[in-house]
Amino acid sequence: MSRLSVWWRRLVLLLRRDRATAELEAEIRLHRELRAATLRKDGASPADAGFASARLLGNAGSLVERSRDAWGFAAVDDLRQDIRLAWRRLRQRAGYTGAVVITLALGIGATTAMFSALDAAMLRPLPFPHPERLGVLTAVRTPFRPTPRTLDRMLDITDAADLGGVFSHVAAYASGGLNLDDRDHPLHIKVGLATVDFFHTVGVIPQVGRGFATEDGLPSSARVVVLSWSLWQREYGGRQMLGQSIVMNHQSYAVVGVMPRGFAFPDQSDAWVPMSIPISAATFEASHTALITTVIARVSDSVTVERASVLLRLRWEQALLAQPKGTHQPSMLSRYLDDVHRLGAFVPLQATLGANRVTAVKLLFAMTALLLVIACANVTNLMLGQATMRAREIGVRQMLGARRGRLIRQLLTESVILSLGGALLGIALAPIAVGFLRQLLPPELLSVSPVRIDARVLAFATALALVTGVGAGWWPAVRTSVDTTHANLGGNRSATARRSGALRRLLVGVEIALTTLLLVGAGLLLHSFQNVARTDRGLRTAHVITAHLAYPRWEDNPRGRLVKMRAIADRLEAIPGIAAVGFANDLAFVDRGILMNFIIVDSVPGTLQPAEGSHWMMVSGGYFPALGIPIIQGRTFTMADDSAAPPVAIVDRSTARKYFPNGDALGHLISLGGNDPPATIVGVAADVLDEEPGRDSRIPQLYFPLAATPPASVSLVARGALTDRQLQSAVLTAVRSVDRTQPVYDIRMMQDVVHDSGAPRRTNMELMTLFAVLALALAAFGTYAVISQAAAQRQREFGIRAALGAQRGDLILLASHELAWVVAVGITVGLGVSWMAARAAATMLYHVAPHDLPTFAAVLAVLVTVALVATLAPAIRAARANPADVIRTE
Amino acid sequence: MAPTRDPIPPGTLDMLILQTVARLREGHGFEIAEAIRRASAEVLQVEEGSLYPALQRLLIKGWLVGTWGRTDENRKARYYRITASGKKQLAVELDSYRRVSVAIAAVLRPA
Repeated sequence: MSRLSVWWRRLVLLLRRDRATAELEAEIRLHRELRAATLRKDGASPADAGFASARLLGNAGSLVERSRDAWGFAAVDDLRQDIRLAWRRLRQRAGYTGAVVITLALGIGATTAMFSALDAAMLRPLPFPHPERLGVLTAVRTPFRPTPRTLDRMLDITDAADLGGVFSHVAAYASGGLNLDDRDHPLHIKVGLATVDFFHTVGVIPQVGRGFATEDGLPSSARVVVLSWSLWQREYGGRQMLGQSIVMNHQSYAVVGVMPRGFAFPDQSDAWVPMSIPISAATFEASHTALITTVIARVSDSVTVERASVLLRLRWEQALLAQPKGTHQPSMLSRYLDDVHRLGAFVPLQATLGANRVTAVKLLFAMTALLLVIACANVTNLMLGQATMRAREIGVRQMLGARRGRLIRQLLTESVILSLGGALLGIALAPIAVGFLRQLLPPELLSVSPVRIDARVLAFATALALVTGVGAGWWPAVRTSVDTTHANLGGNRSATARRSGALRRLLVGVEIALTTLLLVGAGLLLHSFQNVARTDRGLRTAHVITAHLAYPRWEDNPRGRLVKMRAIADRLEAIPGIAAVGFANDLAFVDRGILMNFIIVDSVPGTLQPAEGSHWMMVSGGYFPALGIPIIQGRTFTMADDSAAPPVAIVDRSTARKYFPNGDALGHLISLGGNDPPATIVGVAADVLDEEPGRDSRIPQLYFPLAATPPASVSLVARGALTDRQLQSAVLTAVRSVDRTQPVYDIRMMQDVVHDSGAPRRTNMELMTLFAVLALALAAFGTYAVISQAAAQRQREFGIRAALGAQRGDLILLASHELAWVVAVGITVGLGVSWMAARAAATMLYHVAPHDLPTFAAVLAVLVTVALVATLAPAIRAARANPADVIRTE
Repeated sequence: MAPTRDPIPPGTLDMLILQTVARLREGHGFEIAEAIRRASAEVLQVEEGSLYPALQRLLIKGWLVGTWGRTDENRKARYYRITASGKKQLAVELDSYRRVSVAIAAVLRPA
């Protein structure tokens, strides 16, 4: 009760604080006058009495201030006053304010933007209920054909579901596409194929209607579809769709539900159709022959995530070892075991979605943090420079009774206002950066966890601004507020200047060292990027167009697809200028994300290798000439290599060399394991470097004839000496003339496909270079500012020296030598640290050693040049001063 | 020549002010300072710089109330009076002060 009344009295005082302050002042004035009167009565002269009474009370301003401290609202009051004062001062010095705000905006903006990427990639929980209990089961597969490749057979999805209640829900999903053809111009949409428990596993259920029922997963059941909110709005105007049918790939699907707005998992899905268990080719081959299926599960509430992972792994090892001897090649078995031990049997979903980019995002975030430190060092430097200049002002305020703590608070308020201004500007620029940062992260992740400026990011930026403001302003505030009343008022600034000089030089040294680190990082990435760009990818991409076709009649017999492909190729080849047309189940340079293990069944004794992961493609014979990939040995595929013919394969040159060093790969047998008969190698193709370069070793590339198992969707590639536009219309015309209802999508020039495949590396390099250039500019600015301000303070000294006969060279040296040493030490330390830290970037490099001497040499050259300009330019200007002018001004 | 004065021991200022105001019934700042000085036979000197912060503190705590009035010379002044809770607080402080000073005296008593 009494506590409450204390607060009440405080509040009243706060509301009428101006009047209360006036009262307090009146009270103190009365006291002083009464005291003076008493003293006069005791015989003091009026002047002495006035002086003594004032002395007894002490500094009046300070007394009022201390009395008001009792109100407890002094902090609020002071803050208001501090802000007003800071605002006035900052407006008066627009140049200084602008320099600090822009510097901080760069640092805070870059760090905030990278934080938004980091947040999306690993910090912000996925927008599903209890996302931490949701994970990918690496050791569980969904067998996709009724005759499973036993190689791929690990645990089944049903085994995981039956694992003694460890998982409350288990589901498999794959992303594919279907043609929405209930309209004039068929539309290709992204379709998530998911087992019936998918929505429950993810924990998001339809907003309208229902999800999948158990019977929807039976191969014989009626076809149903769940729409995404966005497709429902976009294509159906949000009208009542439940119970209606839509037609996809000439099949009718009953709409049973619509997902909530924003839900598009996996990979920007527009709709979801059930995947049946066991999965049969008949219901699964909706878009590809082989869809990459992922199994996810939700851990039951009663089990910890770690325990679930261990239980699953044990169960899996047990199942694997229980299989009949000879089911697996021993080498493949050990490979499986290694993989699961390495990755864990249960991997959190978020970790798998952004896995391969997290290193880059973390590294870039670290770089922005360095950039921010450099920006702060610069700001501290600028503030220390100000400290010297405003020493007189501070002196006056100290005389008038300002206490040191109060002064420090005032100065910190100023620096926090500056950093908040920087943050504001930085955040204003952040949306531009976010668009750019999207390229850093894989689309699978972005569809679930987009990069965005949200409350979390804003909170981060604000916290950063406060920390930066106090961090950068602390030393200057402490320095500036030192009680140097005497020296300051005497007009002698050199004492203050000298004290802060050493600190300022140290800051420049730190800036230079950190900049070196950033420059080395950028140099290594730039060098790698050049190496990638210069690499011969082994194919000719000019004048090659690509397009994607998904057959509307996916129930067509495979022969039908072949006939259609042949017809399209014939029409295209008939056009003058078109040189070659080919088909493939997938395009080179498109991330396929899956490796197929293979072994050479009858390799030369002594060269027997363990099973190896490979990229495999199904291609037509025309694929090789269309992309300009030479067949070095043997033959290409023909239409005769169909399902009735003996299985054949083409391998790339490195694979042939590795297993058959004598060059006799032709005629040997290659097996993908399992029950399928091995294929005879009939050709050797030149290597295509379509893997994102930078791996230790090349992934073998295997080709199988498209004619043997024609997939339900193919990529078309055509080369021709025509313009891009002509090629495009030729492809469209040819496809439409064969089948009017056939959608053609993803029409892109091969050059763009290759270009896009390098996007993550390019983005890494560009960001790193940007950060390094900013750091360099900041460090140069810092160096320049320190020298020119120091020189300005020593102008008088320079003038006298010049008058006494000092040469200009001497003066230049005098103005710059102290800092030149610091810069040299900074560069040396920076290079040393970079040398030690360069390994962290090793996985992002390509054909560049972390200790690449040319890169280090180039960084050194750039730094020395910039440092020379930044130190000498102001020194030369200072040395040019006319002694007479200088001395006269003082 | 003013007699030598001892500064008021820290922490006792609030108690002295409360006690003085209680005895004066009503007084402004200068009167309180002078009353303390006189009552202590000129030994205790209220450091005038600390009187007003202390008064503000006691006002906030609710142990004193201030009302504006006129001095004999017809000048505006704030007159302080002790409140019921101020009296209670004074009793608590005096009690604890007595116990401490008795204890100190016992320690210092010559053997």
